[in-house]
Amino acid sequence: METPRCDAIVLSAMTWMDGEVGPIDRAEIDAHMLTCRHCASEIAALRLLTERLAPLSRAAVTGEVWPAIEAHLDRRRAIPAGLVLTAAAVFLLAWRALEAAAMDPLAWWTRPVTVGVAALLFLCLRVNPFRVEPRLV
Amino acid sequence: MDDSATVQRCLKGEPDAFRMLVERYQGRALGHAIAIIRNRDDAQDAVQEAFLNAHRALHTFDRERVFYSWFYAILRNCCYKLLARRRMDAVDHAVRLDLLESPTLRVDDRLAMERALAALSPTDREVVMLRHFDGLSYAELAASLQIPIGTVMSRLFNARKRLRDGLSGGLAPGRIGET
Repeated sequence: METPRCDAIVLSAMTWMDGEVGPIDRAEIDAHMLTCRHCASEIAALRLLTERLAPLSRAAVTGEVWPAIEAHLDRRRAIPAGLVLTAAAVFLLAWRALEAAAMDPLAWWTRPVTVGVAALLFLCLRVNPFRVEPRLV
Repeated sequence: MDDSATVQRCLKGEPDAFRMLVERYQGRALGHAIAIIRNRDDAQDAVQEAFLNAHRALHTFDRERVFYSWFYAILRNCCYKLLARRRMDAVDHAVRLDLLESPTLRVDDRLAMERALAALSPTDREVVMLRHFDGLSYAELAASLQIPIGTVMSRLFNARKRLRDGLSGGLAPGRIGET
């Protein structure tokens, strides 16, 4: 008769069948199977499934992905010039935004500090916000 | 040359070293990606993206680990991301899982097994195929799938039950599912 423990018994039996250590010891599983036809049948079905899968293997898959990867890596290596230009654009925008937003004359140190923060953020993120991710070819 | 030395060469900036890694593992990676995604073009995209991500993250690779096991975590991440943003009708039912023929299994039984595996969810199919066709132990499955061993046990258990259920109508009398 099926009991709440049956699933745990079958799972443990599967684990032992796989050559691993199950959460329930084998003596308890054997004792349970003597009285539970449900578990005996489930375990037999799992064993049969494992036997059917055993002789099968994956066929080798061929494919050439290197050319696309190489092209992408080449584009990535070519980024520094774009990165420098983007960084310059970000700093200039930050400078101009600060100028435009300022109603009163600002202390002399506010501009370099703002640009410094922008530079720090840019370096920390290491992401070009204007780059459009092209689909891999 | 072993993987660890090849990674070291990559990190030193040798351009051919990464190519060696890609060429060494691209077939295996494609097989694994097709098993998850079941669409060859998407699988190829996922593999490319995974290698590019791996290239970017090579400095984080622990040289005590097996390279492919580390790479597999990146690959499956790419596969599941792609599955999540892909339309359901992109599943290519013509893509077979291509199991090798076995003299001890009838052709129609092998095809039934392929169909039953293909009908599983990607996560079920992945765990069953890694266990049975790649021979991964529970500890290796836990490392590859980044889940605890207890979860490996329950995932494998449930996946096998569903596979058995899927096969129960597909095999000749006296086959799996009949007890």
